[in-house]
Amino acid sequence: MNTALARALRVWLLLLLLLLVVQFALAGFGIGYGGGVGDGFRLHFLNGDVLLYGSAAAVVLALAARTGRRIVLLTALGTLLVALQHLMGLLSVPGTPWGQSLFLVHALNGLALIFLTLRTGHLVRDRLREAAAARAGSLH
Amino acid sequence: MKGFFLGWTRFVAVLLVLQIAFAGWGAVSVGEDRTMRFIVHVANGGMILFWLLLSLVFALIARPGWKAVLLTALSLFMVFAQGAFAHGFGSSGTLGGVGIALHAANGLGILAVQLVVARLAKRAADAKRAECAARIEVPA
Repeated sequence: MNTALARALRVWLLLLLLLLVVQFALAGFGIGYGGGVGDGFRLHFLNGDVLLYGSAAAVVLALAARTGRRIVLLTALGTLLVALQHLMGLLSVPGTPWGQSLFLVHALNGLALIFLTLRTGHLVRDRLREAAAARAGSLH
Repeated sequence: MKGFFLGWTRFVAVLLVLQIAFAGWGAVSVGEDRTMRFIVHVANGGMILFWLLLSLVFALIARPGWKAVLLTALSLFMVFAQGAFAHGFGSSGTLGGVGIALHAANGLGILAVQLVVARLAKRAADAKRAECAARIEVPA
């Protein structure tokens, strides 16, 4: 495992977590600003794009950090879920049961992303602690 | 009673997750009146307020520890604040947007607090069960 890159991944995942929470607030801003999906959602869309590229970068970081298969798969799952968020946003038709069901899942998926990012971050943290303990053990 | 409080807290947590889903459902509905567009969200929110009031009563009876009781009281206060954020900032424009942004962030906060309460309730229920098991254990 590459400790420096694993630390970078840990910080990166915390940043993504922050952006995901902000994303919820920005969605709220859009609703309060204009009522429906319109002008007020510009920041939500912008942050959504940042999240897409940011979570894809997390996969690259996870691969480079060599923290194990599981963490790589979880970051890849995160990227897939963010891409799904974009897809649901694009496919939704406002005012129809279809569109509203899609957005019901869109909101739940956003919440799932928060928990996924939190969990992945904890796994990286545990790996870092194990590595630190192993290093301390080999010194004695 | 500790076991019941754990089950009850989990039930409230499920409703809080559903509440986020219902917000997504309302986001792409159409109509003039915001309350009517978000009617499922509003109805479930009213029930969550009532369930959390009961939660506080159950917490005081079940005695899962002062931390769980205080956090339940905090989440009840935060649910009250949800109403203020949703209606106190106007219904459009930047200020209205900020109101709903705070509403969304605060909503995630309520879920987080209730998940911590659920963890504390689990710990209390497990401790109680262990105590009961130790009491009926036959000495060799």
